[in-house]
Amino acid sequence: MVWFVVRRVISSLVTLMVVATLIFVATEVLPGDVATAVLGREATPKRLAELRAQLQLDRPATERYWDWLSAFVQGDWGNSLARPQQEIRPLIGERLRNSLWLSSIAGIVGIVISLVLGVFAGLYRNRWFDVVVSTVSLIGMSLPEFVIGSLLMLLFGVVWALLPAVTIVQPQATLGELIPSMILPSLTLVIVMVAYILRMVRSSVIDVAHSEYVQMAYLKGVPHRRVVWRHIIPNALIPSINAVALTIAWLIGGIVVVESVFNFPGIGRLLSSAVSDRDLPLVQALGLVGAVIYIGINICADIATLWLTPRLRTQYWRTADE
Amino acid sequence: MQSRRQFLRIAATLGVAAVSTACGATIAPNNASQENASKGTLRLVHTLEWAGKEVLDPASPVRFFPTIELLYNRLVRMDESGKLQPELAESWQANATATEWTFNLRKNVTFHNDAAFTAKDVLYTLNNVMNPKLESPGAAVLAIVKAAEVKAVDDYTVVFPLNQPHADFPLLLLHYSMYIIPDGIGDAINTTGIGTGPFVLKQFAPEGMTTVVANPKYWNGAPGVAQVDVVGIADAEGRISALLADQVDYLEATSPDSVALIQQKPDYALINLPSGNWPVFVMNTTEAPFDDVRVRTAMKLVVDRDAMVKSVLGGYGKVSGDHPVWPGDQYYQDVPRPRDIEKAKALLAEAGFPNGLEVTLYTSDIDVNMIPMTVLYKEMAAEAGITVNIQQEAADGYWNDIWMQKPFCCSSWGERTADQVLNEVYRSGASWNETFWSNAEFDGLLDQARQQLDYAQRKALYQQAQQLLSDEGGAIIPFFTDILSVAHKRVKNINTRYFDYAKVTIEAS
Repeated sequence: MVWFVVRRVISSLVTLMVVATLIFVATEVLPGDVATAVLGREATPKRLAELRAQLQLDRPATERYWDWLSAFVQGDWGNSLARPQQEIRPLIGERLRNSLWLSSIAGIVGIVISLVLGVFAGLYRNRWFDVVVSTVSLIGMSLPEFVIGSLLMLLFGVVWALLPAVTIVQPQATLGELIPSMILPSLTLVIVMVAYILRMVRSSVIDVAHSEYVQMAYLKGVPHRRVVWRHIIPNALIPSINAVALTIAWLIGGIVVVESVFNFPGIGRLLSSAVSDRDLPLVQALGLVGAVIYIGINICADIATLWLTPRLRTQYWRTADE
Repeated sequence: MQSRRQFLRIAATLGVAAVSTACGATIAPNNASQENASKGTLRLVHTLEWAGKEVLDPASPVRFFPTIELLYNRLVRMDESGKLQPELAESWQANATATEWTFNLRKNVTFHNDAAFTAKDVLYTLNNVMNPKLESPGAAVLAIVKAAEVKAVDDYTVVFPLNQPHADFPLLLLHYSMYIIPDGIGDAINTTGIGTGPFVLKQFAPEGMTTVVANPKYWNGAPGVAQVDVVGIADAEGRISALLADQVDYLEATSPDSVALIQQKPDYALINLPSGNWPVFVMNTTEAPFDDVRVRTAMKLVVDRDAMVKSVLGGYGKVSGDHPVWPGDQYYQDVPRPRDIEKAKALLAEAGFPNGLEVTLYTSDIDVNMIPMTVLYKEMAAEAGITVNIQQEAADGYWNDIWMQKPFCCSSWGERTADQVLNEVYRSGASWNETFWSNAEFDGLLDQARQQLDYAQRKALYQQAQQLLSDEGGAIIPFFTDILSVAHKRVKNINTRYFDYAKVTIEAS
């Protein structure tokens, strides 16, 4: 078990290095360089040369890559290009807080709802409850975030005017000030997310309910309620852990869209404005932060699966002992 | 949305932007009723044009535009007829050769920090604009001033000596970098916003909510509203949602796509104001075939301008006659250029292209209108035997790799006054002379106009220059675009071109 964790962490670090390299290379090969993008029509040769020197674009890319990576690891993320006075780390920190609140609320609510609905839909397969839940979730799944977001905004913000349509508070606002503005964005995320997990849980409940050990339990005369709670649900939920992990990882991408639609001051909105401003240091830092979260969630999911599955657990214990 | 933002940004860096022109200050006569206390909150939105690095220094390249005219005043202002009126200056006069201008300043004006406004503040503001470290967009506009020799004769008189005659020098002081800041304020101006304007800064947060409150001691009487909130929303759809959800009251320069949406809402008024913003097809007059004026004229004659305004702008624009001075300018010369396919064909034949002509037109989505007008131009030109091959380029690097590099391409500019636009874009050797047109007669007309202190004669000279540029220059300018703004109907006095935020009021609903 310990070994497994250590191995996963090491392989994750390797993945992270590859991601860091890709991020750096990707931002290097963009058409034109940063200096021409920033200056646009005012790009006289003199100003281009000045800006290139200021951005150290005149140094070899390998050298800059190494400096960037080693500084990043040491916690020095540099300054934002578009906002010369602004250090990147506190900037990301305050936005990350907002995004984490948004995605945790959406994540927790979404996971609970989808697990409950998924289990019931699986147990009452093809009955009216299942038909309704499955159809609605299919609709939720097939609509992109920005469509759902715009619909919710139109209904709750414009037509009924119950909630703020877009966020108009400061990025530094307290949680209390942010909460009214978080309802619609998190609802949007929940709708999209529930569909995925729910369908996964439903089919795994159906599979387990048809398995031989569940048949056996019934034949032995175990009461239905006990079969459901002791045999079906625990076994059906294990495959769902990865679906949940994938969905949470998807959330990181989903908030980019949702935050832009609702003007929510999180890392998603920061990323889209960093991209449009050609603020490469900020784009690179955000890319790495996203990768760390993504990989972290996946490690947690693997460990959780391992821990909850006796078969896998003993297998890994054994390899570790040998 | 992206192209819109970039367009605004380009327009803004180039000079008087679409947004900026729509909000020149206007001050009604001082006899307006003063008993009415300021009341209500006006809620504005801004585009986060500089992504949160905005500062309150009006001369900065990243100035926070929405509150500039709320916090500060200029020496002069523009009235609805496009003429100059006094603001912090009470009067001004030139010497006989228009090389030295004397401004008499308004007395009993105080800054928000209770310091008195005097000539020192004007000198300080000008020095701030000319400070090379700031890279102010105003530095080029005011380069004509011998900055080191500007002097305060007394507390209320400033003399500006110029490098060359300029009969319309006061117009240059309309530039937004010339909003007056207090002497010695230094970098503090970036966050304090201390000016002489109708509102006082309460909170500055470009990415969230910026708040200004009424200045009860404003020299022109307390403003109509008690508070103005400005919220930053980068996404264009988000801004419209905020308006429709009644989170903001006024939306400036929205896209024509949203017109239908707004028209369904009885609570909102669409404000359609003509502007001098212009996209353009640029021919390099030094490269074949565009070095032949007959070819250039033929290329201009194929355009059905009314049809372009209708299909590209949905009717929200004004036809132009191939020169960049817009109909609202005091020196505007109307040059009708009706479509004439036969004449175009004849000119092409004369120029040695009896069987038509094939050209490549470079375009990009850097301005929302460029691609639709390019496609339309291709169809219109085909009727005269001109084959236009469209080459669409990425917005990234367009100004660097295509503009002024390819012989036939699209470009786009924000509104400028006649003198500024003719000199900046068409004078021989100007660094933004995108058509590479060089005409001594044209340059001479501009020089004469600047020296001519008589208004009527000056106007005639500028108009001749426009006619000459239209007939012989390398620009095909089909139209000027309108600015579409939306306001909630409870907001009053906001629906004119140069409205004054101090006069805006909110009716209790």
